[in-house]
Amino acid sequence: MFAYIARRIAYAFPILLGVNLLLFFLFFFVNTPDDMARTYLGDKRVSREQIETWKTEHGYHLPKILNLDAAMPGCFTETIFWKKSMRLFAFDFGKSDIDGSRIGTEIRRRIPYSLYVTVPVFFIGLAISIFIAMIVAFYRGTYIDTWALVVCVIMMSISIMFYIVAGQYLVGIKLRLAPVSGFDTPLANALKFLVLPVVIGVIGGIGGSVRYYRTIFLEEINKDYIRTARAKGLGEGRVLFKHALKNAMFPILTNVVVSIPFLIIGSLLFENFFGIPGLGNYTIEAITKQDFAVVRSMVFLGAVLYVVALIGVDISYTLVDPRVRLK
Amino acid sequence: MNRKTNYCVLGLLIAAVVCSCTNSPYRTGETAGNTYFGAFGTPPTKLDPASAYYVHEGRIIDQIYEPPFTYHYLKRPYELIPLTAEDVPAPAYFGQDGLQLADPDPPPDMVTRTEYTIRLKRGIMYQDHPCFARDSQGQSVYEHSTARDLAEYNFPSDFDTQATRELKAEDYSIQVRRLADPRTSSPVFSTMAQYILGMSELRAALQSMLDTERARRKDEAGGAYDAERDERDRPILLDYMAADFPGVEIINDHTFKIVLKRKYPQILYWMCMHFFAPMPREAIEFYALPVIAQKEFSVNKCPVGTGPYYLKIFKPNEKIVLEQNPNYHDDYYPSEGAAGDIESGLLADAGTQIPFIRRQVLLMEKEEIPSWNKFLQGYYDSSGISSDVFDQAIQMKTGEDMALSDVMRNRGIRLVTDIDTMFWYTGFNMRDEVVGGYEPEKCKLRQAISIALDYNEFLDIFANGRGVLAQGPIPPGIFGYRDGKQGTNPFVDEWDPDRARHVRKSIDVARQLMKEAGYPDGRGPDGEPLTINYDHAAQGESFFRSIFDWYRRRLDLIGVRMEDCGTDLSRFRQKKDQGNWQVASSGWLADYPDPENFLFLFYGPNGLVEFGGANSINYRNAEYDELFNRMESMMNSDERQAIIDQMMRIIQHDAPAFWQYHPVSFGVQHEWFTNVKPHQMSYNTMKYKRLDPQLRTTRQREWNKPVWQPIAWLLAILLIGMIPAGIAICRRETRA
Repeated sequence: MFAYIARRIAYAFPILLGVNLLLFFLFFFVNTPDDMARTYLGDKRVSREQIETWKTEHGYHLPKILNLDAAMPGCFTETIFWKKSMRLFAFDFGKSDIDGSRIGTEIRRRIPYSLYVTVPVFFIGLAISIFIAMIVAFYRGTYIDTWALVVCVIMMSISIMFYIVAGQYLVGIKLRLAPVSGFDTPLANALKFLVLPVVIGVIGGIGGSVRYYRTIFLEEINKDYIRTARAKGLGEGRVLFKHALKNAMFPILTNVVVSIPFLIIGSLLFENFFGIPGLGNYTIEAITKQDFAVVRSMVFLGAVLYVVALIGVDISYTLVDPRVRLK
Repeated sequence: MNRKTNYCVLGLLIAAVVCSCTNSPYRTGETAGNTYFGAFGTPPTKLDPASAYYVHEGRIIDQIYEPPFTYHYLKRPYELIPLTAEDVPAPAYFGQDGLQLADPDPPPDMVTRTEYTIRLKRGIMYQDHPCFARDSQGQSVYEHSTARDLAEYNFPSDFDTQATRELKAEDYSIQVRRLADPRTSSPVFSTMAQYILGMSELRAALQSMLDTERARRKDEAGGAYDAERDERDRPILLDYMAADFPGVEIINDHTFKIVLKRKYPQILYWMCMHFFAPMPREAIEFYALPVIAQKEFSVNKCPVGTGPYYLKIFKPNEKIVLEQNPNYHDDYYPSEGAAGDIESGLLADAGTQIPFIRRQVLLMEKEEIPSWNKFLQGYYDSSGISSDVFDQAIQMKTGEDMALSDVMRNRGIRLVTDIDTMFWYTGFNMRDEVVGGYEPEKCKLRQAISIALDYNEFLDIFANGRGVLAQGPIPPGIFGYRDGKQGTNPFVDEWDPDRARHVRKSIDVARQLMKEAGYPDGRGPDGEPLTINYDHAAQGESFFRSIFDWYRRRLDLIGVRMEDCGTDLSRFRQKKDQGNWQVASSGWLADYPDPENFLFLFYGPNGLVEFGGANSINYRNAEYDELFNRMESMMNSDERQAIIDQMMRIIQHDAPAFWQYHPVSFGVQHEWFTNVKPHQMSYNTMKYKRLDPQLRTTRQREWNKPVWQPIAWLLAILLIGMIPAGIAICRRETRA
């Protein structure tokens, strides 16, 4: 298994390099270092000289990928790509181009804020969805199953934006039970701000999840071992919640592990609307301000987490199903 | 625990949750104090007074830093008053022979040197700050601290040992020198280098000092040297005062001189801005300590000032807290104001010591609707009015008057409006063969297009009528602006005495002008309709399409076609730099209340393509330029007004742009927040404002009682709905 993991990690390097290169080209295709300088300096009263000074001070005066004026290895190392992007492999995220703050410190500070929202939304949503999906599977073929599916499709069809605005209006303004938006630290003070986004996040995700898990459970309950359990006289509840659920863990676990990077990276929409200063918020802010240093760090972090999560999925298979071996 | 106890605990928990439910975004009792609560939409990224140039940054740092002068809070037109200076100095002008000129307002070409001697008030103290904390040997208390010693400090205001000191002339000198430091990337450096003596040379000297130090460090570190990483942990401490700089002369601890290369009265306005705020040497040295830099404390995030407030908490994506500076010098509410200020109660606090508000809590609100809702709930003391909520807040009264809606008025909310000192315009590239040029036909073509684009209609459709039709670049409230019929642009607009406002001329006039321009019915000599390209970088903006459609519809009336030449921002800037465009929109917000700050946008030697200046439309008219040279450095007088009138006529005739409008800002405030008068030039006005926290608490309670009934109903319905499901499960279980 260790050889397998080492191999997967080795494969990850070219992937991460490719992601870095792609991001580098995309970013500088629409956004030149001159634009970054102008964004920082403002459009008023900015001279050519000031733009050049800013670029020199921030290391954007170098050639992008290849420095033909420098001797080896300088023709590769004396470039923006090498100086800015390659250091990410050492997890040195550097400083923000706009406010000069350390990106690593900022990421560490903001990760918990994102997790405060995404973790409860994910796990409460998962528990409720699985529970409802099993009930629906229990009533398969009946009018309850049909109506549950109709409701799920309706819930899936409604934009999450609607849930957010309607939730803020109902709970924050009409019922006055929770703040419309905001955030506070530490966690104990943040709780009242988290209730609304978590409830809305859970409700907004239920439709799709219930349908997905219902399909998994229906597949499971038609298998032979379920028929055997019923034949042995086990109650329907026990059959579903003990035997079917355990065997349906394979796809559920895949879904959980693959979702971990997204939990850390945060929800752009929720953080924006509810004023939660997490990583989603950080990314959006960086894109708006053309802060390449932050954008490249966040994309790199996302890519690393995703690669790690995929390795994690493979490992988790071996834990759930002893028949699986990683070679 | 038995079952009974479990139920009791559960019941208590539910009761606790129910009782603690509130929509207040604050901690219990937080709103009872003399604290202002507001919102900010864009996180400030630069608090360094040398580099911050955005309005949202000015709103924070202008309350902390104090330049020598400021503007009177109430008087209009804006009037300069001393802040840390004893008075507003008169300039001393020197001629070719080096002798002082006797004329107090000499012609600019006679002046080779100008001096402003600024005398500081005595006894002005800085906020308490660890940078001033010294041991018995006069060394910084924190100079030899380790990271472990400082581990528990999250912000300079947390440090155990703090001190203060008196404001000195040297602090101003350091700050002016910092404008030339390449690392501060000061946006005003180029402008100041044109006027302040020795500024460009200072930049070169500082750059050389930096290069020398970087080279030394590179030699020391060898191949592993990385300037960014190195200076992140060990910032380079430049001795600003070591560089030779004749632009600022220190006479003594409380007097200094600003020396200019030429006559430039606007320098006093610049000295009202934070670019000219004092920077103590101790702060520069403190933030350059490696142990402090590693904690990410810097001038850019942790200001040190003498102002009425100091920064207590700075979480730019979450919360900013300013507290009253206990060392703040004596400062009093103004005793004079503009007409109507007494009637509106703005002089009730005349002569009272300020600031009134002890604390300001500003919360990040990226979306406008949640922010507005919190204002309506009484959780923010004041708010702007975005387009999304305009209809909810404002109703049209008789004629075209706008007033607060009844719901808002019944809540005691007050409306405050003010015309912004800015203007929007759409420029024609004067170097373009089709729309540019100075021949009479070309001017008529541009005038016709200006008439066709009726900006009164635009304001009604797109801005809820929040704007005043512009007759030229100078907005109301700035010297040189002509009100009413006198100020009408005679080539494009006319004065409507019934509605007391300017209106565009009839479209028939535009058609006639098109004919005279050689485009009858919009068709050129080749019989094809005239097509002009609208260059912009706004295709991603949701509102752009509807605005562009409106442009097209209006230009159809004179037979002109408009093409959408949208591109990305980078390419758009490139096109403008190269003069490769036809028609594009722009705007200008005043830096200071002087007509020069608007008219320079059309001054030939400021042309963007030729000289890289702010005249992006590349307009060049010798007569206008000559008049600008005369007007630029004159004191406000009838003579100056007459020159401005002439200049206005020239650009109105040449129509290098169609003047759009001066926006009107709308703000609302609760009844407990008083002494509010909009100020377009200063952002340090919070010190004049007053709060009634008791009234606020009462209203917040009244307006925000939780409503539980619908939740109870919902739970009941869910429970009832679960009964048949439960019965069905039991039946199945029994069957099995």
